Amino acid sequence: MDLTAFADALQQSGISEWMRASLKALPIIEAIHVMAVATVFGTIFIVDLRLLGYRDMTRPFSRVFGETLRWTWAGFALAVVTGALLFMPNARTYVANTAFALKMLGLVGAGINMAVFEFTTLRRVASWDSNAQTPMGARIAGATSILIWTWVIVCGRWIGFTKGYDFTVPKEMDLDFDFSQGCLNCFSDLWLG
Amino acid sequence: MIRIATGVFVAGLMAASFVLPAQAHHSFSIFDSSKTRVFTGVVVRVNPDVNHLQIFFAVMNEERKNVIRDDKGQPIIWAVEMAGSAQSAREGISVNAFPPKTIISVALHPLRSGEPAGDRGGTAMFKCPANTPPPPGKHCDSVEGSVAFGTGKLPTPTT
Amino acid sequence: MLEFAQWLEMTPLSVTIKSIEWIIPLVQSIHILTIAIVFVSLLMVSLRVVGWIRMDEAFGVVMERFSTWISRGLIILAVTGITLVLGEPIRELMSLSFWLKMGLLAIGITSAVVFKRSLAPAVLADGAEPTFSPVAKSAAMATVLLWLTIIFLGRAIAYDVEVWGALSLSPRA
Repeated sequence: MDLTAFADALQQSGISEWMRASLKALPIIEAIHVMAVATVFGTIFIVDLRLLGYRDMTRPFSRVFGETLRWTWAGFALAVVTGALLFMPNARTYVANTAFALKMLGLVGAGINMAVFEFTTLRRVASWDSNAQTPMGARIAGATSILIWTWVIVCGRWIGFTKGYDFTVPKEMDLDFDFSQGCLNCFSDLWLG
Repeated sequence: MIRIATGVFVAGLMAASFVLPAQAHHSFSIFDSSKTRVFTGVVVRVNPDVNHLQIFFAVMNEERKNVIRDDKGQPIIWAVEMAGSAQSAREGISVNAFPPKTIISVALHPLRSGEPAGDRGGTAMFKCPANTPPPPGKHCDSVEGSVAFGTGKLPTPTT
Repeated sequence: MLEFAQWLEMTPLSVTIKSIEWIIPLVQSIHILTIAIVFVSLLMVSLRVVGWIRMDEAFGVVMERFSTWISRGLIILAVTGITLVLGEPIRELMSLSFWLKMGLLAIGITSAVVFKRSLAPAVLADGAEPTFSPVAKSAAMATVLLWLTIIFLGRAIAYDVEVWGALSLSPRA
């Protein structure tokens, strides 16, 4: 199935219909999305500052990390659910939107950055856990994380300003009509004639 | 002199305040609310976007006989967007209410970017009776049996 | 208020802000990034009051760690927030969510200042551990909800009619 067909299927789903018909669903879900995103960024930012060696240097990294991780994941889960709900009813528009694609790219990048950190620097955490001076790998991961998550939020905000318009005329649409027959008030289907 | 200038300025601001659109719900910065364009066209598609329902239409010529075409023979398509699908449905605006070939007249504040799209704001939109375009140079509001969406008259375009 | 917002809408500064395409999305992005930092900083202090996190650290140190981020963050929020109001005065000022947000913001900031002042000097200077009553702990968690509501209302400004219906201040209502 190609992306457009998949987007169409999502867009025609019952959940999408519900989102479209409800006056309050969109604003409420969008507001919850922002609350969730704020929790994700804020908690990750604390960990990143520790990785960079700017804050909380007197505390072991693993403790700073462990304390915020559950909040990050809770926020992230909520952001994914609300994000999916926001995506579905306008799926066609979003898959064609550059800012949306760049945001998703950012999320993939954040995942890769996290995985690389976990499999390399975090494996050796015992050797630097309580050090104020963090290893280069930790500093790179922290800086990358701040940049990527900032990118994700900026792109997210940009989506709303760049959603754009699909000006293509449906194939079955025939615009070759002509009202010059003087038939200004007749109700027969002129286009069929 | 200064007093007159101030008077003119204040009067201008007051006049401007009357033509300001009622705001729909997104950031209005992308539209130039100081400009108003009025179109009569033929609906080609309605996109029931949750945030902003969009109606795409082919612009009709001044004679209201045909759609305008560019040098390559392609119709000129404009988009007008308004409140989200749910709010629009409450005003009677939906995919079903505006099937392809419906003739509409609508005012919009164009995008600053120059793309052929704009925002309806809170102004009235008119739907002509089926297959009944308005007389040359006129809009659907002048056709008997047309349906109004939203209140008031079709705004006058800015030049 | 509508007259004032309409007047503001036509001022050169407002026209400039909305005419330059990237200003509003950029300022909104900074506003969101900053609220994230401020909110989570408040969350961390509240969780410390309740005793869930950072119990290995003196309370004064935790306060010191987060209160500067909160106060500086609030300054950035004020600057970006005012820019957004100047850019789109009708959308912001003619919104019930906006005024509710301002009201809660006043409560939130006042309670944070009062809380910090209520701490004994020894807590901040000498690492003494304050004792928090169950009421104080509940209040700490209530402020978390308060700030979540502030974030919620911030996003809801754009949807005043949809969220508040007949109560909305929007000229669209």
